Amino acid sequence: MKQRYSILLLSLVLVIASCGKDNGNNTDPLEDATVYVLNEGNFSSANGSITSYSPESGSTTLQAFDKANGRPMAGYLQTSKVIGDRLYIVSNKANKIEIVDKNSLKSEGTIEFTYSPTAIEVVDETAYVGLYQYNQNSEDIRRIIAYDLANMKKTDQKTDVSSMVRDIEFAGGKLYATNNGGNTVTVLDPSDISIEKTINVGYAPNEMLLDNEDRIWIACNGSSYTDKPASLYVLDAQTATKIDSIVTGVEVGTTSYQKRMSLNVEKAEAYLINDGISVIDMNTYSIKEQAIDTESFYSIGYFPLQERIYTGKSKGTSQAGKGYVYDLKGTAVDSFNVGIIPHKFHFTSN
Amino acid sequence: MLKLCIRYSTAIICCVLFLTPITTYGQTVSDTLQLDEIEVKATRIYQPRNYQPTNVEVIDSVQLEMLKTLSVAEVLASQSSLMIKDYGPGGMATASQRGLSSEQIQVLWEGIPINSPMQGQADLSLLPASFFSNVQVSSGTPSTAFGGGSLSGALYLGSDWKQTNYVSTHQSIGSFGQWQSSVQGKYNADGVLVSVRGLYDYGDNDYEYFSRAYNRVEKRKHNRSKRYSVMSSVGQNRDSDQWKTTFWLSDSKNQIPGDILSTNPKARQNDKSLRWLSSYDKNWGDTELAFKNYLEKIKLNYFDPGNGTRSLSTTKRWMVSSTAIHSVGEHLLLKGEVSGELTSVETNNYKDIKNRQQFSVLTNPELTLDSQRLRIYPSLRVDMYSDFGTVLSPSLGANYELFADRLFLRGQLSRDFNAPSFNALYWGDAGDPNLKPERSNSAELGVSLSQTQFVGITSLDITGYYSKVDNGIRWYPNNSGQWAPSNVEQVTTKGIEAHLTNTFLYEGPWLLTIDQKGIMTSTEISEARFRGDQGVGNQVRLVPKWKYNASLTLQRGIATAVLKYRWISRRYLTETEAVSNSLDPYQVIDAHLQLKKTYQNFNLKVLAAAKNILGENYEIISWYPMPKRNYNFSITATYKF
Repeated sequence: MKQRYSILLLSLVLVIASCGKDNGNNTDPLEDATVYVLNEGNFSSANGSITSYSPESGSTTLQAFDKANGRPMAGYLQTSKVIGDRLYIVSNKANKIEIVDKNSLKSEGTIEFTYSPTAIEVVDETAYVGLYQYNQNSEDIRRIIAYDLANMKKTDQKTDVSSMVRDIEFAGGKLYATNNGGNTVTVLDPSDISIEKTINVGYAPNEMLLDNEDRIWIACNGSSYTDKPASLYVLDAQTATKIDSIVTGVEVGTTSYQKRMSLNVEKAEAYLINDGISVIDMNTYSIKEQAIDTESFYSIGYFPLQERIYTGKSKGTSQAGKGYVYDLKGTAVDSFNVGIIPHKFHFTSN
Repeated sequence: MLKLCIRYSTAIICCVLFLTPITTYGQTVSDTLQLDEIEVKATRIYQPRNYQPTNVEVIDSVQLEMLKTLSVAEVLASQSSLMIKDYGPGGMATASQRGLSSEQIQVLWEGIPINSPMQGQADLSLLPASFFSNVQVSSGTPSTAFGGGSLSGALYLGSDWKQTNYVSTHQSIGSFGQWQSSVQGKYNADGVLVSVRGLYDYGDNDYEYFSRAYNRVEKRKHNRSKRYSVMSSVGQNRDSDQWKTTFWLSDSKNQIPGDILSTNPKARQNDKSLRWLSSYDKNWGDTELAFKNYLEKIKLNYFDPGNGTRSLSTTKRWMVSSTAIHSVGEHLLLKGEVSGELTSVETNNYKDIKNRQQFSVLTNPELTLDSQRLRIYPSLRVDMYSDFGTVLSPSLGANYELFADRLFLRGQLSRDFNAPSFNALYWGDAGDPNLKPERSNSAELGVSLSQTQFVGITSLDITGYYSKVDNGIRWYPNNSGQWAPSNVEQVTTKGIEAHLTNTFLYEGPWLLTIDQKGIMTSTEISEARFRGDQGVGNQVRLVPKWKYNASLTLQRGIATAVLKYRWISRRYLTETEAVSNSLDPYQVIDAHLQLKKTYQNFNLKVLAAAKNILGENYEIISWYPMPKRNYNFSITATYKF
C-alpha cells in the first residue's frame, strides 16, 4: 500500500514538473521559425522583394533583403531555392543570382549573367542555372550552364534545351529540367550536363517537387490562350519514367510562372492551386477533395512544423499582394502583408 | 470674434500691400522697367496673357538664350511646372503635367500637334532649345483649341523670326564628351525673309553614377547620342498678306543602353524626321484668313542585335487647315477653323499599314463685355475620325479684370478627349481596335496679379483645378500574360499651381529677378478596376505630389548669372503609396553664367554652366540614374547687319 502511494506521489511530481515553466532548454520550435516570401515585383520598376514573416509573433518585415544589406533587391524575381544554409534568389531583370544566408539574408555573393537566369539547382559546389533570352529572328537562347560556386566563376559546361527552363531539380543522381514553353522535361547528367533523356509531360511544366519516395511532382500550367489543358505529372526519379498524371479536374493556371503546388509527405497529400486549393492523394494520384473553393491564389507553400498551408494572392504589378495562412481543413487562421506578386514560400527553423 | 477681425484685417492689409505701388527699403523700382508681353499662342485665344482664361507659362527668347545648349526637355525641367520624365543624357524625355501621362499632353510646333501618332507622346530630348524663339506651357488648353491629346493641356513651341538680320555661330563642349556646334542666320530684304538654323549635337554620355543596386559608383556604357538638325524658313511680309514655309529636318542616332540593371551593349535607335509647314495669312478688311499646309514623315527604327529585334516604323501625316477671324465691333471676335488630316503608319509591329482620316470643325468666338472687363471664350469643336467615330468637345472660358491691369479672375470649363494611339489600337496581337478615346471633364479657377510694385515688381498666378478622366487607356497583362491596352482607368486629378515673380532694379544698374513655382498635385484612381483594388484613393504611381522650382537671375552690365533650383517630392512605385517602394525626393541646383560683349555689329557671348552642383544622386525614372555634377562651356559669336 505504501509502495503504491509512493509511485502515485512520484507520478504526480513528474506530472507537475512536466507542466512547469519552460526552463529554456525546450523552446517552441516556431520561435525560431521564419517564413520567407519571394515577391516577383514589377518588371519595369525591378522592385522584387523578400518578405520575412514570423509565424510565432505574426510580425512581418517587408523588403527584408534591403534591410539586411542596405541596398534594394533590384530585380524582377523569377524563383528561389534554399540549399543548405543558403537562399539562392534568381532575378531576370538584373540578370543575377543573389546568394544570401538563409537566416540573416545577408548577401554572400552575386553572380551576374549576360542572359536572364530563370532557374537554379545546386549540387555540391556547382550551380546549374537555366538561362533564357528572347530572339525575334532566330532561335531563342534556352540554355543550362554550370557555375563553379567554390571559385565563383563560370565553367565551360553548357547545354541548349528545347524551351525556357522553369525549374531544375537534382534527384536520383540526375538533373531534371522543366521546359516551360513546351511539354517536356529534360533529364541531364550532372557531370557534364549532357542530355540523357526527354520525357513528355503536360503543357507548360512549371516547378518540380521531390518527395521522400524519390517521386518528382510537376504542375503543368496549360494555356487558355492556346487551349492546352493543365495537368499534374508524377515521375520516378530513379528510372526517369512517368508514374502517373492527372488532367481531369485541373484548371489552367494564371500564368506559366505561377507557383502552384506544395507537398505534405507525412499525410501523403499534395496541395494544388486549382480554382481554390485541391488536395491530391499522393498514393492514388487523384484529386481527393477541394480544401478551399474559388479563391484565386498565385502561390502556395506547406509548413510541416506548423501544419499550415500558406498562400499568396497577387493584386497585379502595382499593388502589394497578401499572404494567407490556412489550417488543413481550409480555414483561414491568419494573414499578413507581402510584396508585389508573392511567388514562392520558404520555411526555415533551427 | 476678435480672432476673426484680426484674420480679416490681416487679409485686407495684405491685399492693400499687394495692390498699392510702394518702394521697399534698399530698392529703386524703375518706372520705366517694362516686361515684354509675349503673344500667347498656346490657347488659341488671341489675347494678352493677363486676359487668358487659364494660366500660361512663357519661356521667352531671353531665357532660352541662356539655355540654348540644352534640349527643350532640360529647359522645361528647370524652368516650368511640367514634370519631365527624363531617362538621362542620351535617353528619351517626355513631359507630363497635372498628374496625367505624357500621352495626355499635346506638344505643338507652331500650332501643329507633333506627338507621335504611334506612341501618343513626343520625345523632347530630340528638340534643341536653340531652334525655338519661345516655349509656352498651358496646363489648361482644352481639346477645342488644337484637337485631342490635351487632357492635361499643351506645350507650345514657337519659331518666330528675330527682327534683325544676323549670322551666328555657336560652339559648346561639356562633361562626358558633349559637343555641340550650330550656325544660325536670318536675312530680310524688301519683305523677303530667309532664315536658317543648323545644329550638330554629340555626346558620349558615359557619365559616372551611384548604383543603389550595388552601393557602388559605376559608369554609363553604350549611351552615345548623335544628332543633326536643320530648320530653314523662307517667307515674305507684305501689307495685306504674308507667307512662310519652313523645313525642319532632324536625324538622330542613339545607342540605347536600357536601365542600369542590365545594360544592353548593342541596342540602338534612329529617329529621322522631316517636317514641312507652310502658311499663308491674308487680311481682308476686318477679316483675317490663315491657311496652313503641313507634311511630316518620321522614321523610328530600333535595333537590338542581342535579341534580333528590328522594329521599323514610318509615319506620314498631311494636315491642312483654314482659319478665319472676323471682328464684329469691339465686343465680338468671330473665329473658326476647318481642318483635315491624313495619317499613315507602316511598321513591322502591325499586321498591315494603318491609316486614319480626320476632319475637324471649330468655332471659338471671343466676347468682350462690361466695359471690356469681362471676356468670355466659348468654343465648340467636332472631330470626326475614320477609326473611332466622332468626338464633340465644348469649352467655356472667362476672364474678369477686377482691378485695371492688376488683378484678374479667370476660369474655364471643358470636356476634352485623347485619341487612342496607333500602338494601343494596332500593336501586334495586343492592340485593341475597339478602344474608345479617353475623355475628361475639367474645371479650373485662377487669379492673376500683374506687375504690382510690391517686393520689387511682382506678378502672381494661383490656379486651382479639378479634372476627371474616364476610359483612361492603360496597358496591363491579359490572361495570356501579354501586356495589352484597355479603357480601364478612371482618374481624378486636382491641385494648386502657384507662380510668383519678383523683379528688382537697383542702382548700378543691377537687375534681380526671382521666379518661384510651386505645385501640388493629387491624382488618384477613382474607381476600382478589380475586386480588392487598393489603388483607389491613393496617389497614382510615379506622380509627385509636390514640385517646387525657383530661379534667381542677376544681371549687371555684360554679365548675367542664373541660379536654378528644383525639388521633386517622393514618387511611389506602387499604387498603395508604400514609402519602402518609392523613388526618393530630389533637389537639383544648376548655375549659369553668361558674359556678353558687343563691338559695333559684332557680339560675343560666353556661357558657362554647372549642372547639379550639389552632386545629388537621383533617378527620375527607376534605374535610370542622372549624372552628378557636370559642366558645359560655350561661345557664341553673332554678327548683325
